[in-house]
Amino acid sequence: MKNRLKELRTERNWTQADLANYLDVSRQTINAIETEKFDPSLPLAFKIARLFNLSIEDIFQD
Amino acid sequence: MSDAYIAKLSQPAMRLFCWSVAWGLSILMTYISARFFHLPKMLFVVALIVNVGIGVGAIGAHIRWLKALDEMQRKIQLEAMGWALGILWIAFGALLIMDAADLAYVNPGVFPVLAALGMAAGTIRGFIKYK
Repeated sequence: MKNRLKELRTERNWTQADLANYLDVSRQTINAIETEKFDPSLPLAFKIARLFNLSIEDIFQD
Repeated sequence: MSDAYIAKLSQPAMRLFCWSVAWGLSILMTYISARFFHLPKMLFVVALIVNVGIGVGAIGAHIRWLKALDEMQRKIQLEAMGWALGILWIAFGALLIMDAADLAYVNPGVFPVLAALGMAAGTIRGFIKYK
């Protein structure tokens, strides 16, 4: 699944570790989502969307 | 890993480590005592009960540790367990045939070692896959 996570993170000058801290996951998980090796669950996708104040569809695309 | 995540994981990880070490030591001590000392049988029954009790505690600690992992780390562990179980079944089948055909004697001690190796290989594979 394609996503804009890296773009949104870098816009805010956050490191992967910062984002991992905000989402309470490992930095490896953030990296795997950004590189599209791992698709987050719906609860984590909602958490990400809430953090960036966007809808899930604005961040994740098929 | 992030600071918050490490903090959340440290306690269950330490508990898992302690329970696992205690379980290993209880087996080792009981085995050495049975092998080299002539102690009353009742003592070994007690040691066996203690060993099983510690084993159950280790299972609980493992489950709590898995619950503390984030979803991707949990997926890595799930795949590693799949590898460990698969390797165990394949090895069990192969060694059963070898034993039945008198090709080789199978020491049951090989199975936990194979499971541990399968788990380790699966975990490494997962870390590389989701790197």
